[in-house]
Amino acid sequence: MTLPARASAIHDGVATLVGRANGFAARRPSPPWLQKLRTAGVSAFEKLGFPSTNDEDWRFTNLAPLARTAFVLSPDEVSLAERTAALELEARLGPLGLSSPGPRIVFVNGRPLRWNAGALTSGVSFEWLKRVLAHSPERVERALVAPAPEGDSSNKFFGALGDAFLDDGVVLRVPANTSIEEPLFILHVATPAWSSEAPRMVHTRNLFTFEENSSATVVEAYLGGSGPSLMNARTDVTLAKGARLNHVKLQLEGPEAFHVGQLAVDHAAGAHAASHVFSFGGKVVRNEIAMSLRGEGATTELNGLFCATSGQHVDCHTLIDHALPRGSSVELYKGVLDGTGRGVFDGKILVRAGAVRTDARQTNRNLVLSNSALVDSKPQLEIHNNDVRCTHGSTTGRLDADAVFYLRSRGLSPEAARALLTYAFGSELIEKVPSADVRAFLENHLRAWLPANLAAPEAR
Amino acid sequence: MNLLEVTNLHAAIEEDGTEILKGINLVIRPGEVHAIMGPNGSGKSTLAHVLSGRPGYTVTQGTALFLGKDLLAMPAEIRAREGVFLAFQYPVEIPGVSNTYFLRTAVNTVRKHRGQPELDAIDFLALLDGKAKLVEMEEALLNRSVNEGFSGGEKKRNEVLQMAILDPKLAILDETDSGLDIDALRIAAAGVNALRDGSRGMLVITHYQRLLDYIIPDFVHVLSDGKIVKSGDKELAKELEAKGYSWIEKGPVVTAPTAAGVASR
Repeated sequence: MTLPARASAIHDGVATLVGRANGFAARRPSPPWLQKLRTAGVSAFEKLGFPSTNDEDWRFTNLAPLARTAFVLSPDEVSLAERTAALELEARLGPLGLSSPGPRIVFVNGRPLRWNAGALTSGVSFEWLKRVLAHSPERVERALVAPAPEGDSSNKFFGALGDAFLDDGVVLRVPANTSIEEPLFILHVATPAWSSEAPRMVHTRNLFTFEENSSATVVEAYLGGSGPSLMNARTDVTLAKGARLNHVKLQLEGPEAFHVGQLAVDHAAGAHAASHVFSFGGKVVRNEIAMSLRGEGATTELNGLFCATSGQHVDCHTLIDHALPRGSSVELYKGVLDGTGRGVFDGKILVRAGAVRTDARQTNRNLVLSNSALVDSKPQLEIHNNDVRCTHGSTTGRLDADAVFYLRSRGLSPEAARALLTYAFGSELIEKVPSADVRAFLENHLRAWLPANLAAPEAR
Repeated sequence: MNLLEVTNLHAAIEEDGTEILKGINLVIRPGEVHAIMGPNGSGKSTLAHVLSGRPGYTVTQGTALFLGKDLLAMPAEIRAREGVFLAFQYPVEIPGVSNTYFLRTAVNTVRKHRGQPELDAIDFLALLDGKAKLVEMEEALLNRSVNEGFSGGEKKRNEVLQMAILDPKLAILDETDSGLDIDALRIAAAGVNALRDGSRGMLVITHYQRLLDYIIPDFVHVLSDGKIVKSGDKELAKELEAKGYSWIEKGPVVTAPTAAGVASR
C-alpha cells in the first residue's frame, strides 16, 4: 500500500503548489503578458507534475521526498529573525562575507535584503527583477517569454514552476566593450526553518545580457541553515559577439535542502562562457548547465566539483549544444562521494550537422571514499558530422593506496593522508576559478568539508 | 644500543600467503651503512617494505627492534616519525599537492612527534633552500606537484631531499639507482653521502654493484630466496659483480663451509 499512498502524496503536492501559484498570481497585479506567462507556467506544471525516474533526464534522481514536502512562499515582508539569521550565515563566507566590497545583491528566502553597488562601472545595470517588473516590465518581456533553449527539455518541470511563481531575481546588463573587473555577487540565503513554520520555497530568475565584447564575472552563492527548503533558481544569459562570462555557482545549503538550479547560456559568434559549479550537498541537489553555441567560433568551459555525504544526493546535468562551425568546449566534472552519498554526472555533447571543426573534450572523474557511496556517470556524445574532434572519458575510483602509503611513510596519519589526497583531487577545479577571493573561500570550505568525513573510512 | 636489530624475520604476501622473507637476521649500529644485494625475487624490496610498514605483508615469525622498540608493532606513520625513512624505488606522483606544501606538512608532523617546535613558513623555506642545494634540485620542481612529470632522476633526488629534510635515524634506500643514468646516480649518491654523519644508519638495497662505487658500504649482505646467505665488506660487492649471482645462489650447496664461515663473522 506504500506506493499508492506515495503517489497520492505527490499528486496532492502538485495540486497544493498549483493552488499556491494561482493565489500568488492573484496577489501580483501585472501586465497581461506576465499574467499569461504565469498562467501558462501553472497549467504546464499542473499537466507535467514533478519528473519521475521514468523520465530519462531524471533517471538517477528521485524527487519524491521533494514532492511530498508542502513548501510555502515567504510573506512579502522580511522579518527581523530572518534578517539576523541571514547576516549570521553571510558572515560565514569569510573572504566573500559581509566585508566584501564588490557589487552585491542579497536575498533572504527569495526576498530582497540588501544591494551594494560597489565600484560598479557606469552604464552597467545590476538590479532587482521585481523592481524592473514593477516599473519597466517591457525591458525584460522578450527575455522572459522566449522559449527554453532548443534541445534542452530537462528543466521543463522546474521551468514551468519558475514561470508560475515568477517574481524576483537579478537583471544584469553589461554594455558593449565594457569589462567589469570585480566579480558581481548574487547571494541567496535560506534561513533555518523555525519549528512552527512550514518549509520555505524560493523561485528565482536571473536575466543577464552581455553586449558585444563585454565581459564580467558573476558569482551566485546559495547559503542555507538546517531544515528543509526548496530553491528553484534559473539564470538565462545572452552573450553577444565576443562577449565573455565567467560564472561561478557556490551551492552551500544545509543537509536537508532541495535545490534545482539551471544556467542557460546562449553564445553568439566568438563569445565565451566559463561555468564553475561547486556543489556541497543537500537532500537533493540538481545543477543543470545548458550551453548553446549558436555563433561561429564560440567557446565554452564547464568545470564542476560536487561533494555529497550520507543522506545527500547531488546530480550534475550538462548539455553543450554545438550548432555552428569552429566551436570548442572543455568540460571537467569531479565528484567526491562519502558515506551513503550519491552523485550523478549526466553530460551530453551535441554536435549538429553544421558544426564542423568542433573541438569538444569532456572528462568526468569521481572519487568514492566509502563502500556505501555511489555515483552514476552518463557521458553522452551525439555527433552529426565527421569533421570534429570529440573526446570523453569517465572514471570512478577510490583513493590510490600507493599514494596513501607514500604520505604515511613521510609521517602523515592515514586520516591526514586521505584528507590531503581528497583535497588535491578537488583543488584542481578551485584553481580554475578566476577570482582570488573565491578561490580562498573555496580552499577553506573544501578543507572544512573534509576531516569529519575522512576520519575512519575503514569503519564504514 | 643497536639502531636496528632484525631477528629471524619471516614475512609473507598477505593476499596469497606466499612466504618471501624466510628468516632474516641483521644488526645495524649507529653510523653504519649496510648494503643488501641480491638477484630479482630474492626479497630485497619486501624487506624494505616490511621494515617501513607497507600494507600487504604479514610477518609470520621473528622480530625487528628499532632503538629497542618493537618496530613491527608501529603503524607506518609512527615508524616515519620515530626516524625510519624509506626512499622509494618507484616514488608516487601526487597531482594537486605541491612538493613544498607536502614537505612542510611532513616535517612538521615529524617535528611535533619528536617534541620539536613546528617550523613556520620562513624557517621552513630556509631549511628547504639549503637541502635542495644538496641534491641540486631546482626551485621549479619544489613548486610543482609531488613527483608529477618528474624524470627518473628528479624523482630519486626528491626522495633524497625528503630524507635530508626529515632527518631520519635510519634510512632505507630501495634500489635508488634503478632507472638512473650515471650523472643522476652521482647526484643522488652525493646527497646520500652528505647525510652520513656517524650516527645515522643506512640500509642500501641494490641489484647492481655500481651504486656502491658511490655510496661505500661498511657491510654487504647477499640476499637469496628470503635469507641472507653471505655477508662481508665492500669487497664482497665487487666479487659479486665479477662472478654474478649464480655463484651465490649455488653457493650454499657447493661451498657450504665458506658460507658458514662468513655467517659466523
